[in-house]
Amino acid sequence: MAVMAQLRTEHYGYTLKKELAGRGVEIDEGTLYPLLRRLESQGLLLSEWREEDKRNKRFYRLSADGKRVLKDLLAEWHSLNASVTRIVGNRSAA
Amino acid sequence: MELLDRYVRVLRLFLPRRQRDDIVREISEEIHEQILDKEMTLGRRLTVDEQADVVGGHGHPLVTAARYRPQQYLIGPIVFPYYWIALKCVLALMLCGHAVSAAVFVSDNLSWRAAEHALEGMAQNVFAVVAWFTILAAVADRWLARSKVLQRWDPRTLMQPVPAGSQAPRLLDVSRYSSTIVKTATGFESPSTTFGLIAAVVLSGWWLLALRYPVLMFGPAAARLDWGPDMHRLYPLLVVTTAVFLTERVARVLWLRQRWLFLVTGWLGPLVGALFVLKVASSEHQWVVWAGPAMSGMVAIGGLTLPLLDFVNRVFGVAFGFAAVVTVLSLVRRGYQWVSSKRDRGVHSAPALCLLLLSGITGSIAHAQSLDEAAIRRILEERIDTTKQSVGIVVGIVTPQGRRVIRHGRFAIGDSREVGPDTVFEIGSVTKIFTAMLLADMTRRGEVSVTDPIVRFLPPDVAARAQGLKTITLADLATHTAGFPFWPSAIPATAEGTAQMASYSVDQLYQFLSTFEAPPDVGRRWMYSNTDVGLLGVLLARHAGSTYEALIESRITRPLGMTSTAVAIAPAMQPHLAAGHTAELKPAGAWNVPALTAGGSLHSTVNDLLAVLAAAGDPTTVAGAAMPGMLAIRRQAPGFQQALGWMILAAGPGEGLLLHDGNTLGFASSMVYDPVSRTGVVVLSNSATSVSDIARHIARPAMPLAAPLLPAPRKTEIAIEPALFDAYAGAYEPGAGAVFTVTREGDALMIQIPGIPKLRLRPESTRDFFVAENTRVTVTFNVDAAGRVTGLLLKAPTGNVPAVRRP
Repeated sequence: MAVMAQLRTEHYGYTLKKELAGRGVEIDEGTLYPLLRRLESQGLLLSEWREEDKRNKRFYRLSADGKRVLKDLLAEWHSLNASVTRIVGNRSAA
Repeated sequence: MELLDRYVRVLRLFLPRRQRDDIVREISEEIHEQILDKEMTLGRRLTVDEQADVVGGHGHPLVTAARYRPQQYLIGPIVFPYYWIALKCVLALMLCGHAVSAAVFVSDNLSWRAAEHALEGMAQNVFAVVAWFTILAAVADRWLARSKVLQRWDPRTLMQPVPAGSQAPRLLDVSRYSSTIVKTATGFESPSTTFGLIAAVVLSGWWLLALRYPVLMFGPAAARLDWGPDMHRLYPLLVVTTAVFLTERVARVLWLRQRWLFLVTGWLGPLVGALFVLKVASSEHQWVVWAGPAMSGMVAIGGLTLPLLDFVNRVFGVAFGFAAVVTVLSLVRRGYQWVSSKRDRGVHSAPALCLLLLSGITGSIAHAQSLDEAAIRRILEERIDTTKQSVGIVVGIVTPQGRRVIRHGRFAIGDSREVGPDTVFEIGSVTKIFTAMLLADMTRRGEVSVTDPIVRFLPPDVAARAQGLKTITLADLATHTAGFPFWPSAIPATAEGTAQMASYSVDQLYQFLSTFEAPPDVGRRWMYSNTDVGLLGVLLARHAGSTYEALIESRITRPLGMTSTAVAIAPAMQPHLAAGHTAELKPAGAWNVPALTAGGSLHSTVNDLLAVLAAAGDPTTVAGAAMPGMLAIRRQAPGFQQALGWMILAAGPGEGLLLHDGNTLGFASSMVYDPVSRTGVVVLSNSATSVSDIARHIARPAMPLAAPLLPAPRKTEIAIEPALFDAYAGAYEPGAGAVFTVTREGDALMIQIPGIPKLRLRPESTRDFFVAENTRVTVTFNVDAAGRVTGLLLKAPTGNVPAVRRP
């Protein structure tokens, strides 16, 4: 979900990793790249090879489907989060 | 950067093929940038250790590559628990069975070696069972994943009882017994139908496999025990029963509501059940038979002492009798249910239809199993009275239940004596079975080995000269793969029945051997030869310091009580000797090749040959003890396997039959043995026309009789300038790689057809030729407009064969 959210703007693997790390989500390369491929094969991401700084890079961004799925996921996440907070909050109060 | 190259090279190997290049390109770009980035920050080049850190962050190549693939199971988590329980149950059952029979088995002190042998086989069986279960479970897993069975379910259907009308009768209520067995054996309670299904699948699978692989039932004792003919007859029914039963179970567990399914299981079940009862009732209690040497073990129960085999058969008899009673009861119940359910609706034709169908099936099965005596007699009458192919034919049949003899015709044309079971005939090449039996017997006694080279048995001076024979073994002689011609070169094929054969000596044979050069494919290429088996007889007799005839007498005919089987006609046999006739029913000469008696010189009677065939199934006799050795070596031949002596028919209606035919100048013979039903057939005839088809047809009615023949036509040879023959000489190809070779030998035109001796062709016209020995065989050469010979047409009673001339 974090990866998808980050890909609302276009990134290639390395900058994506750095951005995520900057926001406290550490994800190692051996996990990140296969994950990107899986999301792409599910039609949630679009990718293309493009030249930048004289080097070829594979850029990923969210597809239309991806945007919809992300919205649903975020909604679910928020509701789940709210429930958990309520439960944990109740416990600590007890 | 070298580290990076190494990493991606390894990673590449494990990536999915199609994405490989793309992924590698992306990863190497990324690592590259990561390194450059770090170098920028640090303001210097990275050390090797730092590089390793960066590359290492991408994970072990195997792990990383695996993440690019979808998750894969051979057997998924749903099927796995069932797979595991089933496997454990079957292996436990197998081991129990093995342990019990091993205990019985080793109590017989002779059997350690056989027990060892069977235990070796057990490892393979365990492996096979595991492999099959794994494959089945994987298939089931794929099927479950694809079908919607597990998604489309309704809690209300789960434990609902099956309505009485759609419940198939339980023929052999395997599930009830099996669940009890499984419960006691494993401690599992089995309240659910699902578990019942597993138990049923496991037990049925084991039971059906055990019928194919006796070792699963008998364990180590399988070296000695095998399923008998009754079990083989029952096998198809057991397969159908099991299939019906399992279908019903699966339908119940998955709660399939297909109407046709219950119609099939509901009606096929009772039908098969009725057949089952009939089969059990008509069985001869030959459930289990000896496959190897018999054991002396006795079993004592309740003051009754029985030989082991009888005991085993009684156990099976009781079990099947019980199953038959259960079946009858369930049939009655089923019938009652059916009648009461249909009475209201007034339908009553179906049961009648079923009964009709049932009686039809039983009738046809009974009919297909054997020819009755009247049918056999009609065949003999047709051959002797109508088509004049023979003068007298005697047929003998032996089964485990006894012997029958059917005969027709006379000793000779103009002789009033009728042929019978004691009439003496030349048996021709059926002699080769006796020679092969002698070899197997001497091998079993350790006197010779089938792999011994033949030069070891030749006189030393001959062996020294016969340098070309070193690669030939005794087994090659007995299987016609030694490369020797049909007759040794000093006996021309056209000389059959002449003084050249009668005067041919063993010294001449040795002379022939010392110049013979064995071909490189000894042991592989089959070519029927009298030289092979004739020589085998000479060598065995030499080794035993005796004569072939004396060996046959002391080792085979005397122990088996055969009084009328010999090369030389004994005074007591003389009054019973039938006269030989050519295919045209003219008097024929006697078979006389003293140097090669082992290839075809025995005389015998139907009674004597039946004694051999009856003994073949009894390992306590010389014939039965020799059988495993005779059948252990098999060489590929066209359409059959050549064992020692016996030819074993390949796939087809005659599959598995052992046979040998014989032909002399005035007699024809055929001997067939079915090792599964232990049924043997002998046909002896006193004319040269083959009777092989009769023997095969009696042994397996599905094997057809030869088309009815017209009496052999009378043909007259015309005089032709022999130089004309040169135009016909050459190689002709009938297809399938075979070659007919036509040659001119002096004034004679000869044709060599693979597998039979060279035949002399006699001209009827400038293009039409016939074979004097059998005028039904003709050869017509095709000549084109330019006068060139382009091919030939071979006509024989067995069919017409066109062949194209090789350019």
